Amino acid sequence: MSTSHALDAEAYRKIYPAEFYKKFLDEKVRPDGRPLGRCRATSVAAGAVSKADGSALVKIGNTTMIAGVKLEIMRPTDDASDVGTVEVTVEMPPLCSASVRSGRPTEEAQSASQRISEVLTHPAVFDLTQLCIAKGQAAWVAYLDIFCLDADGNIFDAALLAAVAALSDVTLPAVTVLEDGRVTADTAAVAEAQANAKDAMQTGEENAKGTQILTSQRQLSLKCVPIGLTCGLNQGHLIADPCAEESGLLDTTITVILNESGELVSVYKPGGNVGASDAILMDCIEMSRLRYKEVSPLLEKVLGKGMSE
Amino acid sequence: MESREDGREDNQMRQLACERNLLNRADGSARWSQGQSCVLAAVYGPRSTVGRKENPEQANIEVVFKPKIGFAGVEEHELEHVIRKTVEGVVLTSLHPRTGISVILQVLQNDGSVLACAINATSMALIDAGVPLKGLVAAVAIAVQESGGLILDPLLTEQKLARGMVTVAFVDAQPTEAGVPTEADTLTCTTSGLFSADQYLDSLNWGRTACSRIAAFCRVSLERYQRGSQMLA
Amino acid sequence: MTEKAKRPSLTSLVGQMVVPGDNIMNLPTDGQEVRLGGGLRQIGDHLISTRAGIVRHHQPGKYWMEGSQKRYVPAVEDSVIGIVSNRHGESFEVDIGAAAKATLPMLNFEGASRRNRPNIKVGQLVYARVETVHREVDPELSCVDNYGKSNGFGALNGGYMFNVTTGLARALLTVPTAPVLAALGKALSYEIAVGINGRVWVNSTNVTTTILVSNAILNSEFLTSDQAEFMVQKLLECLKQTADA
Repeated sequence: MSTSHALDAEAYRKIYPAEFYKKFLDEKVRPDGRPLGRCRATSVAAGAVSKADGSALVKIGNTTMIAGVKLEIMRPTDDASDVGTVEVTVEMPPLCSASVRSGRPTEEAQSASQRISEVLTHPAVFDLTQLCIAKGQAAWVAYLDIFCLDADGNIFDAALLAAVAALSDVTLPAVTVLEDGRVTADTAAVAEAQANAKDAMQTGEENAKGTQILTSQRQLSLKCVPIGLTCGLNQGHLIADPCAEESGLLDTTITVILNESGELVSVYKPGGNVGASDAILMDCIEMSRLRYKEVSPLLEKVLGKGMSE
Repeated sequence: MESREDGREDNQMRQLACERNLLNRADGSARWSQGQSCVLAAVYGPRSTVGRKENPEQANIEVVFKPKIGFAGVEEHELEHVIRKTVEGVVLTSLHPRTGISVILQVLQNDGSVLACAINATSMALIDAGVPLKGLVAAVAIAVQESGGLILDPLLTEQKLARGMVTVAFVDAQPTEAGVPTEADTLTCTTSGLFSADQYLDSLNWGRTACSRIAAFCRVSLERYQRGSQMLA
Repeated sequence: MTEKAKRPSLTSLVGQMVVPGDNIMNLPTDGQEVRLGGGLRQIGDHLISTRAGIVRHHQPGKYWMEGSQKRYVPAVEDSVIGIVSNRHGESFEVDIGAAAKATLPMLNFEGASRRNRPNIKVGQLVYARVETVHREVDPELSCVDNYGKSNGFGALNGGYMFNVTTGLARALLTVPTAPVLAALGKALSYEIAVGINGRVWVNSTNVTTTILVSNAILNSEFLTSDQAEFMVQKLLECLKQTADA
């Protein structure tokens, strides 16, 4: 008798997902046992990819995102001669979810790429002049790639967290300019240049060999740390951090990104079947503040040296 | 109080202009201008779609956004995402299952508040095509200045100097049903830049007032055009 | 913004211009039957518009939205002009300008039976009546009326078909006759079929008459009856001049 009850529940869940979910919402819980306002267990691990210049692995529940930064030297454009760039790409490869096909990036992934890029390249969040090597001559371009390994709902929050952690994990290598004018971060050339500089200092002569250090090794830092929370609305109930099953049943989503001073970095509500009253929006902002307090210790623990106020 | 570049008050909109039914082939079209910003919207549908996109319960909405110069990149795809979700919120998609409704937008001139302009043009084009809607959608942009003050419907130069910007869209429909977007509720909201929660709430209020004015303008515009074909009756 | 631009008060908006989302009126609670046509939907006790146009009312209890679109949405009992695009077994596939192609069973013609099939080929124009329409199914047409008589329905041979808006098509089908058709009818002889799906078919003995009638109809969309008559007179004068020259 009990097995048939168990089967009934599973069948009901598949055939009538909306009614199944409503039964839980009416009791102010969700199928995985969480209260409406609680997010799933979150973890951040920096330096997950050893070959990358900076990386981080973030898990929110089952949703797993891995971000890696690869640095390259480029020649800056004339109208942006003293800054570098950060190129953000969020990818959802077919392995992350049954609903993703290989080929063109999904609208969700492109939307996430654009929004994260807007946040991370805003002058109040990240100072792009840090990426400058020599004005007009050379600057760093940081390719920040964020891969989804498991999409169980709310990929945006996880992607943003991974991006922030990865970027803070980056140590810019020392840069030297070679005799033929090429700018390089090659460790051998840098070591040679450092040795020459040391000799020149000791002998008091001008650095005769021609190679010189342009910029020394340094850690990247953010001016303020943006952390986001995505909530969904279903029948007027505000649900924090929806998982994949819940995402299909939402009337709309609202994402709020805050920084440590409580300033709004972004409030994002793209259309949807219902509107959000001011009260609901304020609730979202309040929930984001609580989320910030939850998540920022995780970031600090992992990248204590990388975060500046 | 500093006056703005074009002499407007802080909470004054630019001049609105709307022309509908200007494209021959499209089922509905509208050209919407706010001052020097101008966007052209074309709507095709409901029409039959390709197998993969066919949804047995609803019409499938597709948005294409073309910038004034250059190819559509990630930035334009994000705008398409926002506009598509906004359109899905107002179109009665369940009345036309297994069909597709396409919205194509072309920026003709960009002098700030382009997303708001695009949403307004889309709304008028959908009405021109006779697509069944829950109500009129109106959108507006508000910029938060460095000084902390707000300005409505910013120019491109004002946008660049601003601390942050909020674009909001509201549905102009009377509240009769729980769940139907109403005047009080924000349908769509995107922001950029940093500002406080209080400034954000103020922007929403400004946006709400401005959108009801825009909706009133749309009403007058629709009435005037309709009068022409009424003469036959 | 003028005062007129404010939303109209919540009394009945029948006969007035409305936009989508307007609360037209509260439905009667006295058990009176109300039938809703296109462009209106019911939410609870209210009648809400889904399109922009004028709300019309016909006794007893029929309400609908009058507006003009380019795309046709099929409704039962509409007379439409379709183009036969394919033939599947026992029925034809007909393009009526809607989102989905319509089916026209071969037996829905006067005097048709299994052995006596109608002589309709692919590419043929047909004047048909929409018999069934349902959201999930393709619309079905018929070339006979309820009594089994053809009553003007059937194949349209020869002639010329052009597209108009649904508003103009509706105006052409009014009783008494639309001013432009009345003016044309006084001077010329021609055959005409008007489909409410925005298609008009004209046929006459010579080509110039067909062209003149088509142009006159296309011009007449936004004209008053006096202006329409004047326009037709002008066109007829041109015709006379070219005939004399």
